[in-house]
Amino acid sequence: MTFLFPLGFLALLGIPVLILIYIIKNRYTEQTVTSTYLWTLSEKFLRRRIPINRLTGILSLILQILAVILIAVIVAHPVITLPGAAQAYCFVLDASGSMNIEYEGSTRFEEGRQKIKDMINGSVKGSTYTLICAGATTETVFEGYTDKERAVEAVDELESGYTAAGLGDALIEAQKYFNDNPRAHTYLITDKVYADSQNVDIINVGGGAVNYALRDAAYEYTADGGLKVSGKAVSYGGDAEVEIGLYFNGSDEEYSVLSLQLSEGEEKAFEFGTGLSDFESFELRINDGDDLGLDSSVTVFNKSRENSSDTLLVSDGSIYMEAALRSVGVTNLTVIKAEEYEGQTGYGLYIFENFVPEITPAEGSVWYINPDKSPEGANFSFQTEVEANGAAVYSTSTKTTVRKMLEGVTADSFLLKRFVKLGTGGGDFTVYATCDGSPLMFSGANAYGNREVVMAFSLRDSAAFTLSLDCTTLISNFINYSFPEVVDSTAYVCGDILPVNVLPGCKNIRIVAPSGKESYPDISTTVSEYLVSEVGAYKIYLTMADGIEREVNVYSTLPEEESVPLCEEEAFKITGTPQAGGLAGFYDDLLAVFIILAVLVAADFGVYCYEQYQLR
Amino acid sequence: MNPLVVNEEFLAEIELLQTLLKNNVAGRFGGNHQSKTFGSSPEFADYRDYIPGDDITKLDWNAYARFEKLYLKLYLDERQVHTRIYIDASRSMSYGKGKKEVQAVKIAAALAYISVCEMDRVSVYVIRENRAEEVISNMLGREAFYNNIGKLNDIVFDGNSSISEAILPSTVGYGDGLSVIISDFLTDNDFSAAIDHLATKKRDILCIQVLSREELNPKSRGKMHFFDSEDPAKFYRKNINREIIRAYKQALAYATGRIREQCLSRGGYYILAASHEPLGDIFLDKLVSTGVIK
Repeated sequence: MTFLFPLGFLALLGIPVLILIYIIKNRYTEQTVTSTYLWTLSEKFLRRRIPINRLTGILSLILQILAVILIAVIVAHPVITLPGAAQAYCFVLDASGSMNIEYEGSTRFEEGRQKIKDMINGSVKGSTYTLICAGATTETVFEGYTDKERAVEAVDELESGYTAAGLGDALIEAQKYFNDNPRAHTYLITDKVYADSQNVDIINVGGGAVNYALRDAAYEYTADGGLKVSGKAVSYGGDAEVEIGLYFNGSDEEYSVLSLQLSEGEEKAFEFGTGLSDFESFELRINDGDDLGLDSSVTVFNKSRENSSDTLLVSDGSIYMEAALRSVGVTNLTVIKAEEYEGQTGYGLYIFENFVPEITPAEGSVWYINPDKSPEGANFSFQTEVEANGAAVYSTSTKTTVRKMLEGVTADSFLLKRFVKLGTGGGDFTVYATCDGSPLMFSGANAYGNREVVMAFSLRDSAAFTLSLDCTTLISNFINYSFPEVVDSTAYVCGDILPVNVLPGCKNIRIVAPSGKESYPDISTTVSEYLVSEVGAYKIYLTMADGIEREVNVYSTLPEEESVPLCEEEAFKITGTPQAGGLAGFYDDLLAVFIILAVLVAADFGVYCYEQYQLR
Repeated sequence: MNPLVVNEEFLAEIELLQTLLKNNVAGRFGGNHQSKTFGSSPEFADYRDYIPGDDITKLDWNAYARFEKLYLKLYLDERQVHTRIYIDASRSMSYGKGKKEVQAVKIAAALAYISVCEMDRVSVYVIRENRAEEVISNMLGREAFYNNIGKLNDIVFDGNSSISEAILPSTVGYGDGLSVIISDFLTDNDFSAAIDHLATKKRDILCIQVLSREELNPKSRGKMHFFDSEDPAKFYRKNINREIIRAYKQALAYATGRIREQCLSRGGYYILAASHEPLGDIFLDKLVSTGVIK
C-alpha cells in the first residue's frame, strides 16, 4: 500500500491536540458551596454503575480520535497496488455513415460509444485508454489517458461521421500503438462483419437492417421546356414497395408521389415529369420509415439559381433588355420604369436601359445601356450621340477576358444606326466591341470597385443585334461576368471536396454545415477547398466588397456504401505477439472510509446530544 | 450580613404581617397564654369546695345563699411565656448568593415581634461553634423590641456551629414557652440531642430549616469539585449529571424528612423555608398549616 500524500498523516498531530483539549475541557470546576453535606449524602442514593459505563466519559474522545485518524488516512490517500490488474485499452471506433443506422432508439454509433464508456468505467484504476476514431479522417482522439473521467468525457464529445470510414488508416494507427504498447488490448467497435481478425476484439454494433436509399437525383429540361426529375432507389433488408414523394422549393406540400416496387439490393430508376419551367430546389423523399433516414431523402438545388442574384432593371419602357434577360434564365428580376427609380438598394445587379441615374449605385454590378449623360461614380463620360457610319465590330483581342466574354458569339459585326460616344477616361476597362473607333461595349470597375458593363447604344437601334442569338449569348456572358459562379455543382457526397470559387471582391466566405457548424475557408486562393463531411444542405455565404452577401446552397448525400446495413469485410489484423500480463492496478476508493468517518462523526454527535439530554 | 436587614421597611412589613395574623388566626402567640392551673385572672373557670385557709374574698356568697355551702370561685391562671430563638450563625448560613442569613434573621425578628405583641418575653441566641450566645435577652414589650431588634443586624455568620453542644449547656427554661431553632441543618453534627433536651424541658419546639434556591434545586452541571464553606478539608468531586442530581434530591428529601421526624416525634414542629420565599407565605401558609399558629 502506498500513499499519494503521505504528508496527510500530519493530520494525526490533531490527536494530541484533541487529547489536550479534552483534558483542559474535562478539568473539574472548583466551587465552594455552603455545605457538601447533601452532596456527600447523595452518594448513598446513587445506583450501582455498570463498569462499562466508565467508558462513556471518554467515548466522545475515542470517537473523535478515530475520526482524526480516518481524516489523516483520507488526506494521505492510500493506494493499493495490484500487479497485472489493469489493462491498456485501445479502442478503434468506426464513425462511418452506416453507424448512424438506428436500432432500438439509439444509433449504432451511440451504442458503440456507450460500450466504450462501459469498458472504461468498469476498468481497474491504473488502466490506460487510447481511442482512434475512423470517420472522414482517422484521428487519434486521445492516447494513454489514465483518467477515466477525462476519457469518458472525450468519448461523450464524439460525433458520428457521414462518410465512408477509412478503417485501413485506423488499423495502421492501432498497429502503431500496439507496437509501442505490446500489452495493449485492441477493441474494434464497428457495424461491419469481419471474416477474420487477429489481436483484436471486434465488438459488433450492427443492429438495424432495413434501409431504403435514394441515389443519383438529377433534373433536366425536356424539349417542351418542362422539368423532369429523375433518380434511383434501392432497398436493403428485403424486397419492399416504397413511396417516393417530390417536394419543391422547401415546401412540405407534396408535389407528386409515386410507388415503386424494389428488390433487395437492386437499384431501380424512377422519374417525375413536371410542367414547371423553373425551381429553386426540389427534394425527393422516401416516405416509408427505415433505420437510416440520412439516405432516404435528397435535395437538389438549381445551380443556375444558386449562382445568380436579384436584378433590378430600370428602363424607359423598352422591353428588349427584359426579354433578353428572361431568355437567358434571369428569373429573380425586378423591372421598374425610369420615373419609379428612387435609388433602390439591395440588388446584386442594376441595369439602366436608356436611363441614367444621377449617382451610380454603390452596391452590386451596374450595366448602363445607351447612357445619355455621365452619372457620378461611373467609369465613363458621356460625350455625344453620333450616327453610325459603319458596322459595330467585335474585338479580336486574344486576351482571356475578352475571349471569355465573347465566347459563343458567332458574328464579327452587326449593323447599328446610332450610338453614344463615351470617354473611358483611361481607366481599367476591357472593350469588347467598337464602332467607328469608339468603345461600344466594354466593362471595368466603377468608383465603388464593382463591376460595370456599358453598352453605348440602344437595343432599339440595332435589330441586327437585338434579334440575333449573339445578343442572348453576350447578355448571358455579361450576366456570368456580373454574377460569377460560386460553385461548379450543387450536389456532393460526404467525403468530397467542395471547391468554392473565391470571386473578385470577395471579402469573406462562411460555410454553414447542416449541423450548424460554421467554417471560414481560405480566400487567399482563387478556389478554396472544403471537406464535405455531413449529410444535408450546406449554406455558403460570400461577403463581397460592397457589403452584399451572396448565399449559395449545395447538398451533400451519404456515400452509397454507407447505406448498406450489413457490410462484410475481410480482416482486421494487428500483427505482433502480445505481451502477457497487464498493467499495475490501483485501488484508491475512499468511499468506505468516508462512510466510516461519517458514522463516527454522527456517533460523536449522538454522544454529545445524549450528554446534553442527560444533563437536563 | 447586610446590616440593614432589620430596618424600618422590614418592621413595617412585620407590622402588616402581625395584622394579617390577627385577622386570620388565633395563634399560639395571640392572647394571653392560659396555664393548666387556676390563677387570678378575671376570667371565671370553675367552683370548688371551700377548704379552710382559702382566700375568703373568692367565696361565692350567692352560691352560699342558695346552697348553704361554701364554694370558692376559681379563675383561670395566665402566665407569661418565654420565647427563645436560636439562630445558626455558621458560615454555611451566609455563603454564596443564597441569603439564607437574611431570611433567618427576618424569620427570627418576625417571630420575636409576634411574641412581644402578646406580652411574652423573647430571647434571641446565635449558635456559634459550641456556644449559644445571647444577642437579645428577655425582651418584653414593643418598645423593647424596637430598641433591641436592631442587634440582629450585627450577627456575624462565620465558622462552624454545633446545635446540640451549644443548646445543651445553656439555660433553656422549663415549660415556659417556645424554642425556635433556625438553621440550614446541613451538618453531620447530631442536633437531635438538642431537640431531645428541649423536649425534656417541656419546651415547645419549632425547627425552621432555611435552604437556598441552589441547595433546593442545584444548577451545577459537569465535572465539579465542591469545597465545603465551613471546612475546606471537606470536598465533593463528581461529574454532576442527571443521575447525581436525582441522588442529591433523594438525599435532600431524606435529610429534611429526618429533621421533620425528629421534631414531630418530640411534639415539635418543623417547616422548610426557602431563602427566597416571602415571609407572608412562611407565616400565613406554612406556620398556620403546621399548627404553630392556630
